[in-house]
Amino acid sequence: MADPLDDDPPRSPPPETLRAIQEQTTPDLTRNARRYAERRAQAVRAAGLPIPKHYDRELLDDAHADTWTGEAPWDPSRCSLLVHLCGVIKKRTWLETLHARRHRRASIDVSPNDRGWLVAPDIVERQMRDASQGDVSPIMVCALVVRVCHELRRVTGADPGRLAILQCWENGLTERAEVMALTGLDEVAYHRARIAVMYLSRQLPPELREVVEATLRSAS
Amino acid sequence: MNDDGFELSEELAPYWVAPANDVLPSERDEVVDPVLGIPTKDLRLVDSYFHELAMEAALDPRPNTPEEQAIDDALLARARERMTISPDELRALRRRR
Repeated sequence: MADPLDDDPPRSPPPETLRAIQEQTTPDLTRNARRYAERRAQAVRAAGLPIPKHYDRELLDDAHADTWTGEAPWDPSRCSLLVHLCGVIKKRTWLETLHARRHRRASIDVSPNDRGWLVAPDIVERQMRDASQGDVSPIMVCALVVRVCHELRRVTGADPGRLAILQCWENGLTERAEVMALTGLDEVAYHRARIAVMYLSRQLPPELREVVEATLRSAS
Repeated sequence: MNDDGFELSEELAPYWVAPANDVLPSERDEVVDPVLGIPTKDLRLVDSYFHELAMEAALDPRPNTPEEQAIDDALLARARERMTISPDELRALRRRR
């Protein structure tokens, strides 16, 4: 998706990049990227936003077209086409979620003091269970975010590598090359820390993991 | 560059030498989401976590169902057709739509 803030007209990718796009546009890439787009579409819907039919396919189709035209520039030496397309989809869905949430502000049915962390735990759990069945409210979004953040930070502990990964995530940075450049982690340390965070996240309280998974599943 | 288009590298780099002791820009200038009343960095953290879960789902080796295969075939056909057009032509076509 073209960045509306970018004044420079997009430049066509160089021939070697176009060749790399052609070579990497395979059935496997399509399957993997489509599955990623499905999950992102589910996460957008889980945030309480209506999404059009076939939104997931549109996400992938647009990301690929933007890459071909150079509107979403890709450097093949930096990452695979799959990682790039997922990054483009991630950015678009993040911005659309942010935009839609801010424009739905008037319809929010909770007062500023009625936020997730001030709600009694049983209400939070009920809201989150309801959300997994498609009934999403701002309280639920707050509750889910607060719980997931708390648990991720708890299971990550004080390990510097894992903390660095989490701090990158807090800044919206997930691409390996960028995380490594920012943190100074080498390839081995990066993989070890990332795998550890994902492994440890499986220790999230079962009911919370269930809600996260159900929220993503049910919103399709 | 993060998803809002801000270049963080130069600003962040000095803080990563000892992340346990230093304070990141996101913590110094904590921005709170005006709708949810939650720090933006928490929303980003969850969004990034969901991204990682989605990446794991993307790499799931299970084969496609027939329905999924039909979707993928159509997406791939569209992509291949698109790549027969030059980037400049495609940009012009999309502008006209």
